[in-house]
Amino acid sequence: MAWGTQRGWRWCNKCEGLWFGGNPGSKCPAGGVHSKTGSGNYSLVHQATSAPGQSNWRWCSKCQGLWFGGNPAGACPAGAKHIKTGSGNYTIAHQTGAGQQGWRWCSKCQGMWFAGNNTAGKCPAGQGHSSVGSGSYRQVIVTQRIRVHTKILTVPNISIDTLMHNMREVYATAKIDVEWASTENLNFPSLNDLDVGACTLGNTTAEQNTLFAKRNNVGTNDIAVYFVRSTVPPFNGCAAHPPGKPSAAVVKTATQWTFAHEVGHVLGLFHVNNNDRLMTGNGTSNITNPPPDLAGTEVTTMTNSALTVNV
Amino acid sequence: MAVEMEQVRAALDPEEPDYPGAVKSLGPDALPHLERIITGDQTGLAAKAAYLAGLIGTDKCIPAMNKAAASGQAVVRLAAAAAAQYMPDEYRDSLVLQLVDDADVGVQKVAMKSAPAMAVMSDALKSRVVALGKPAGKAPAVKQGAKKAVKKAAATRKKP
Repeated sequence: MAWGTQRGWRWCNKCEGLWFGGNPGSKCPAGGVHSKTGSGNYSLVHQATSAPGQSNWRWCSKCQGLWFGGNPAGACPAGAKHIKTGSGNYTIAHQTGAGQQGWRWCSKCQGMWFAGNNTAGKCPAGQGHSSVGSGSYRQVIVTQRIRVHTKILTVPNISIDTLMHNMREVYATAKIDVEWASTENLNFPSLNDLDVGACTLGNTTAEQNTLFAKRNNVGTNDIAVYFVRSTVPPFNGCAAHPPGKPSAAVVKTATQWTFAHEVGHVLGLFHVNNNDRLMTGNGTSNITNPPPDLAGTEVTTMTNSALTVNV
Repeated sequence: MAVEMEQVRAALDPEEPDYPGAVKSLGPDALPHLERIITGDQTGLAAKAAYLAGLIGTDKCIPAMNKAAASGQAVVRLAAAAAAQYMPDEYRDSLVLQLVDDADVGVQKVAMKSAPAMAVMSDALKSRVVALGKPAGKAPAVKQGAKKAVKKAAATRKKP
């Protein structure tokens, strides 16, 4: 099942806590409302059943803060304890993963706070936050987003959750949020071994045209990725698509980086001869420093794509 | 100059291998390595190896192609079916004849697409293709391919 991403989370420069800036009426333990001055726009994964990271982080509707719901509720700056009523289930990158490091769990209030400044901020349980017993959490700051839909004819060997997470991790280095907009199972046996011809930019076969026309719920500037059993000839994936239908095919035996690589092509990237990079033309199975890199020029190309939208 | 396994892997590892380039740079000397990959446990790589072996397209490919056509992995047999069209005529026909009746419908469909023009088909393959185009034949995609081949042959015959 597709998990979602939610932007609009902010760092508060008064209390160091993470809070949702999309609603009015926040409550800061340092007094008044939270402040987003100087904060990036953080994107959190929610409703994930199997995305890597630690789940059960919750939004408190009283103070707008993020807190860990796997323990008894901690002190809330709006009074009494945090509540999880109306909250999604957020999954936070823990120990590994992309994003800004230095985020910690506070054992006193259960909140998420940034320990990278020379202050422990202000904890609603009194004095500063504590990082005792906390793991190392990461938060993704984004300035743009792409929307990706998955269409499944054959389930790949590496789970789509993992493939999507890996793409999110690489694209986060370019501050591009990857929204997993929808997922759909397709039953078209005659297209499950997809004829992709020579798989060159702008050239598509009748089978690609037929498959990529199946765009239920896919917006004009959204990308649809079709998981097929194989391609003819055998490739790990192919990003050639008809005009106006940004799409790619990924095969069952694809590597953990093929999905992100093919979407990179859709966004305008070409192969490079460097196995540290996502767009290596030598095979993503040979990537030597996971997660792979995006060069500055590649980030520029991606951000200039019509499929990449400012947030 | 002998071809090393590393060179073969370098040709097959890319997400989108350059098969024509690999045929040129590696040639038939790659076949023993391709045969090993075809029987190995990396299915995706084995499929790529089968396709490249077929594309090399000489009699020397036949042992590798036989192994690919007998693989337990459908996508490897499918790659063999796709590459059959590049094989010498006699072997191509027997390979298509075998794979058009494969247990896997995708392999059947691709094998049908690799069948040569009816005019140059062996008699055995021709009669099988005609049978496949009949109502009680195979899956729609295979039947459609067979019908198309028969229709094309008929149209060719009508030419003065």
